[in-house]
Amino acid sequence: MSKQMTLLIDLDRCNGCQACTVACKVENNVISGVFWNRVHRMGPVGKFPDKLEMFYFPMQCMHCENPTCVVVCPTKATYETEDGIVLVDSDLCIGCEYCIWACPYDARTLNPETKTVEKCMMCTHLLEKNELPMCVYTCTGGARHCGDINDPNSEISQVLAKNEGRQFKIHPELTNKPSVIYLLPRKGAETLCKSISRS
Amino acid sequence: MQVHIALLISTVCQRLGLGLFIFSVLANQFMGVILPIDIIAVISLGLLGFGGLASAFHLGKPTRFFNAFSNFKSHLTQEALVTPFLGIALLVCILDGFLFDLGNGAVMMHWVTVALSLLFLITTGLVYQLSARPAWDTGLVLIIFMLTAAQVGSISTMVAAYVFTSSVSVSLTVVTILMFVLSMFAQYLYIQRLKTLEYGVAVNVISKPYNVTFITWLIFGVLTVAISLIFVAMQWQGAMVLTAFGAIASVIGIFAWTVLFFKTAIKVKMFPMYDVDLNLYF
Repeated sequence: MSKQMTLLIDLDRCNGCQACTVACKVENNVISGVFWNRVHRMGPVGKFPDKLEMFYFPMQCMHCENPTCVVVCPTKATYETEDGIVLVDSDLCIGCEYCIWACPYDARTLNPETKTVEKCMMCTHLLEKNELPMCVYTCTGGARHCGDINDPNSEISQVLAKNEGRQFKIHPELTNKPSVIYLLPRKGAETLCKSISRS
Repeated sequence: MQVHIALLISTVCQRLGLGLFIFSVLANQFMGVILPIDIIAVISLGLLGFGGLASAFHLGKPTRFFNAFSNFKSHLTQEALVTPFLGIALLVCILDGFLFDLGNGAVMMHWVTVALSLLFLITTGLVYQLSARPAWDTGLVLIIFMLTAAQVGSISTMVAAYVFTSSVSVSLTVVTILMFVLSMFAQYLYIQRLKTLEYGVAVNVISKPYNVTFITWLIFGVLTVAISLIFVAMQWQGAMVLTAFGAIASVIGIFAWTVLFFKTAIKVKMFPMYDVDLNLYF
């Protein structure tokens, strides 16, 4: 099975501190107003104490296994590496924004200065040095994990194995096949759990 | 995702220009009208060129335009590949009779240009048929793109017929009304479908921020065009002015429709099971 580098994010451990958001911007020199990674808040919805739901939701490129952005890009600026990471070659990008429309996760932004499209590149420059992406390294809650999900011995696979039954993906019904895996919060996301038939 | 005015101008110009050419050739062949295809081709090429320029200027890096010919799987690349062939075909139609004489081959050339125009419109329509956008994840996108081109193309062909021959055949009027009805029906279906979209992104076009463009489309694209065509069909006096009025209203209507079309696709939702959307607090 080919390598599939991806992220695993435990929503139970995310405390919404935004350290990953800041770390990503600093590490990758992401300009003001552009975010490759950011933490959203879902809720609060419902009534305290029994039916109150709220959780934090970190969002970045889902590094899809079948990325539509790669198919639609007319310049081949967006491409998938052998490790399954989706990258953008800004030297080829013409800034047509077609990939932005084709991304169901709104993970891409047009850089207003360079006029080319940008997004999370999973800190490939750090991965090449066997280091972790900066968002994973900085995560204060230990919510983020990164590695080859197809390698059963990788840390990410072991975390996933320990949390069997809690994993879910965003819009798995789409043909994109997102690779990023989330672990459901144990509490505060009852509607979400119910909708995907998890207790 | 933003609504780009340059893209709106581009797609409206393309539909108007190519729709006019296609229906002029059809009218000449089957509807008892004799239109000067060379002059029609000048208008079509002008609109295609203007639309192309507008499209190029919406790019972040217009100077890298030629990179767009790289990915044959992309509908944008396919559109870019068809464009020069279509431009050359229209140019041949223009120059036929001036620089050279194609003789009997002229009709064949017209049909080749019609085929390329259809190919261009299909590839452009497919650009917007994206599964990532629930509002656009339907075959109606391509159908509406083609039918709006047919609607504006047929009514502008009627204007051309009045200008060049001072009359319009019954068959051209009937075809124009038919294209209008079909186009309206497809657009109505699209609006109905928006109400039932899953993923928590259902759209009611009567509510904000869609209502202004929807009402604009309703006034110009539906009512004004319908009234114009009814009077033209009744052979009312001043039919030429009425048809021109209808054609202008049709262009405004398609412009408004395209704005609405873009607006309805902007919203995506990660957790459709919740009524509220994700909060961005940083």
